Amino acid sequence: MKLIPAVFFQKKVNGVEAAAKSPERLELFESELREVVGGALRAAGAAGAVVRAEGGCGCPTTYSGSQGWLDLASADD
Amino acid sequence: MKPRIGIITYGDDPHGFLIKKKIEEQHGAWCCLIPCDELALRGKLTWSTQSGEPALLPTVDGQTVDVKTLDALWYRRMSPKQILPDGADATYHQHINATVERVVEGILVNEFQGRWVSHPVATRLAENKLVQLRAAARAGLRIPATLVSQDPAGIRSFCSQHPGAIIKPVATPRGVELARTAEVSQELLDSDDVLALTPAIYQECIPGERHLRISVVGERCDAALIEAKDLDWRFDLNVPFRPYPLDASFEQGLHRTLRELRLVMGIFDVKLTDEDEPVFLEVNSQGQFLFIEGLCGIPLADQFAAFLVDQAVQPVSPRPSVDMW
Repeated sequence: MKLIPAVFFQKKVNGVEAAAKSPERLELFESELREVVGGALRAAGAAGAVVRAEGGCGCPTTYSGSQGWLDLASADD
Repeated sequence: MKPRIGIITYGDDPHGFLIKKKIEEQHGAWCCLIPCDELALRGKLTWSTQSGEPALLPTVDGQTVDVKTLDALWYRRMSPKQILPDGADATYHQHINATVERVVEGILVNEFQGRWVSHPVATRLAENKLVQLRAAARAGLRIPATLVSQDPAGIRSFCSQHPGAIIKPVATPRGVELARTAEVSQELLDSDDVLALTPAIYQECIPGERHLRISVVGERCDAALIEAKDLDWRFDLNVPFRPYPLDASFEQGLHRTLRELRLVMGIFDVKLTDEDEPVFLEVNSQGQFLFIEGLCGIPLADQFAAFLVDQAVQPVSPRPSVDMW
């Protein structure tokens, strides 16, 4: 097995933990945020300014390398 | 004249869009989003030594903004990775990333005349956990005993002195596998080659289940108490979150920490001991805060929008010179 950094070695020792579902109130908050972003992007799209692919809701399909809308677990945030 | 505020962040950052909306609707100020990951894609980056030339950056709405005309700039994110236009040879992706990052940084540092939230150099330095731990200690906050090392003997010695010690990453680049804070196992301590591969943070475990996520923006401190058994509460948010009043002297310590780091905002992670003593764990110079509003109702977005507008109308502080760092 190839050597891996200690933090990931410890992660392997501890085993995979199932991702917890987001709390309902946070889901609701996120959906409102999606509306804000989607609305802004739709407006920009109407002006011909959107430059990336979109999902059906008018929201982007990627999050620029982040882990999700609130990006909490990503990077040093 | 309307205050003019720029936000540099990812082109799809919900924080950025929401704060822009609030700045415009609640304060009547002008605001633009500069999509830091779409700069290669959108083009238009130009800088010149000739005085009088505008310093233009593209905005998400397809326009450009002259950064010389901005009164405040929220330096929320600067992407290490650009989205490439169709037809670009991915072999040169790293070249493009580095070039765009340097040019934008140069344009902003040279030409932006307003108030930073926060300055890019301060932001980058403050992301270093070694630097921020020392800053917090200088500011009078309690910090956990910490070893950053790849020396197996030193790590074993530290962990024997601090039973239940934890391990966490020194840095977590965006878009790579995450490792959560965990207790150091004997299996790890027995693996010299793994310990020696790269440094990690080994830290005294602060016992207890009460964590604080504290948003410090300007003079405001807003804390949420998170009651979680997990060492790293971020991965399961189905736990109680509620607003938590802070002791005035502790708030002063948080502000001093930011001043040490030359930041005007920071999102702190703190743990409360069973004796209610707050222990600094880390500060995120551009940390996430909207989820706190979603989970316990503290109106952080409104407060942050008001803060940016206030920054935009304040007199400009002297420009920091490079030798300040």
